[in-house]
Amino acid sequence: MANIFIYPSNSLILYDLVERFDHAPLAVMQEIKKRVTTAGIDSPPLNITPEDPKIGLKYAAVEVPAGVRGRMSLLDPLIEAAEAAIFVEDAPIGFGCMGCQRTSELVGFLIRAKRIPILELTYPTSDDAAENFVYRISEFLNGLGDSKEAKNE
Amino acid sequence: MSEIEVAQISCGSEYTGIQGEVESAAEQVGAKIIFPDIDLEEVEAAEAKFGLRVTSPDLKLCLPAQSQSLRGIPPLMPFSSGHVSGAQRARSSETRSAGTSMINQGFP
Repeated sequence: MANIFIYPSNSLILYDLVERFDHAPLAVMQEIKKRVTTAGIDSPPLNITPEDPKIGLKYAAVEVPAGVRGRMSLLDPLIEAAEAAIFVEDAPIGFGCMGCQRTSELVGFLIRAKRIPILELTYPTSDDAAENFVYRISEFLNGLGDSKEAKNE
Repeated sequence: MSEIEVAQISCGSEYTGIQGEVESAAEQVGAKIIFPDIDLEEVEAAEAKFGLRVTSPDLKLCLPAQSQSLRGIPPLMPFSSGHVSGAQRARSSETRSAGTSMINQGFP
């Protein structure tokens, strides 16, 4: 089972697909859950404190907007844990929405710089394309399992 | 006194750690921060309406949100207090109708 970074990072459809193929999806909801269920923090709505944009300095300079750096502090543990990634480009808002294009570009760059297996897909717009979309994800995720087993042998 | 509703139209403020400060500042003056409700269709149509293409989804959300928030806001009165004359009332009504027509026709 590998940790799969998904993009858009809050896509429930991608999250579900990764889980169905017995891998661990890395989604931003997990990080938000940690924050909103931790006692003693009171910075609604996401409980992101003024400390978080400082954590984001790991990835972006101080001139970069605090909103980008705050988002990077959420995504930092996911990027660190990623062993493979699935990127879906040109997805509509309903599929999953990262909010900030500049953050998305930075995340894409950081994931690619990790030299991990990446599957890049375009959002499907027809039934055939949707079937192919799911098929390619299944092949990619099943292939990850094979390569891990081969390494262990 | 009824609570003043202040529409917040911002991009990423909830990720900056200052959202709590914004809300506490509003509370201090007896106001409440609200986020305008908008349909997904309005988000998709906003770029054409504004004539401005933006890449960030949060900014796309800001465009229809500001139109939506303007719909419920009465126009500013020319004088801050005291008696409202007939002329002022008429001017206020013109401003309101001008604002509404701008929104209906697509601003800018």
